[in-house]
Amino acid sequence: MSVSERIYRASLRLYPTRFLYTYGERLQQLFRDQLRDADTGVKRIRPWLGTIVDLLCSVPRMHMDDNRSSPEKRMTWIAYLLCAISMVLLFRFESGSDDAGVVSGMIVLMTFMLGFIRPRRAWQWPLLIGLGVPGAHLASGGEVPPVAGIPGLVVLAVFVLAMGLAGTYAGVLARRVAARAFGE
Amino acid sequence: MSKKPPTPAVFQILLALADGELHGYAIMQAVSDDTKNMLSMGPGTLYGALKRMVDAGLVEECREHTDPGMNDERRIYYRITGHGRRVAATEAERMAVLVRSAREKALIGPAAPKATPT
Repeated sequence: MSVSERIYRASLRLYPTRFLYTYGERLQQLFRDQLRDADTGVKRIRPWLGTIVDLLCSVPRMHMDDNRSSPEKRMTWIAYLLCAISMVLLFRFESGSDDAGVVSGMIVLMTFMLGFIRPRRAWQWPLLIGLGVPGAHLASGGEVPPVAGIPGLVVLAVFVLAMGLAGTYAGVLARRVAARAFGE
Repeated sequence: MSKKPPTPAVFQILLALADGELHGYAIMQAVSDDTKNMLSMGPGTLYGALKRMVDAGLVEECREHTDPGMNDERRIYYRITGHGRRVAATEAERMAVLVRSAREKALIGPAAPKATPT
């Protein structure tokens, strides 16, 4: 396999997995055909230029098609969007408030919602949301007093992570119960 | 896909397949030749369009075999379906009406006379 083919093969990972599963080999075969016909050095640039333009145009389209045909993927994007909004809200609230109870409640609620919407790879939600609170402290330059000799920021991160895990897996459990009760 | 007019890429693929079965690279070359290099498709665009066309029932995959003109690799061939042929014909009719209208308004010149076989 030539270097060009290896590079092209690597770039194919940009396509949705389902599309690649069926068409990956055909795409590579077609690229090989183009390279073979553009036999000389300078002519070999043409398939590459065409391929770069093709990747830029077709990759987003294939992902849009893939999302449209797969409700599960659509839910993943919604969950990530909600997660980003939650992180911003948490960051803003934490920067301007010292009310640990409200922040804990917000973390549990947000991660519960995310665990419910997207139970697959649920561990990522407490990690992502958990970054918001210590992040806000770091960004605002706020001091967190140490607890029993352990740095305050570490204690805060562990606390937030624990809250997030509790919220997320409560959401996952609620989803399972709902699926069993109403049928999914 | 059958309600609204097909995209230029889809129409060109249907035209390329109207003469018979072709594999991906042959379709790409046929489209490029038919449009005098005005429409060239990359592998992703071509197979993306073919996937949508297969889903819409415009074309179908047929046997996998080698192309005597190419190397010995086995290739999947595509064939136009009856539905695909009807969609292509409808689109061609629609385009013919547009061309006639443009000709009447002198936007384009008269049709070139048909070459008579000698």
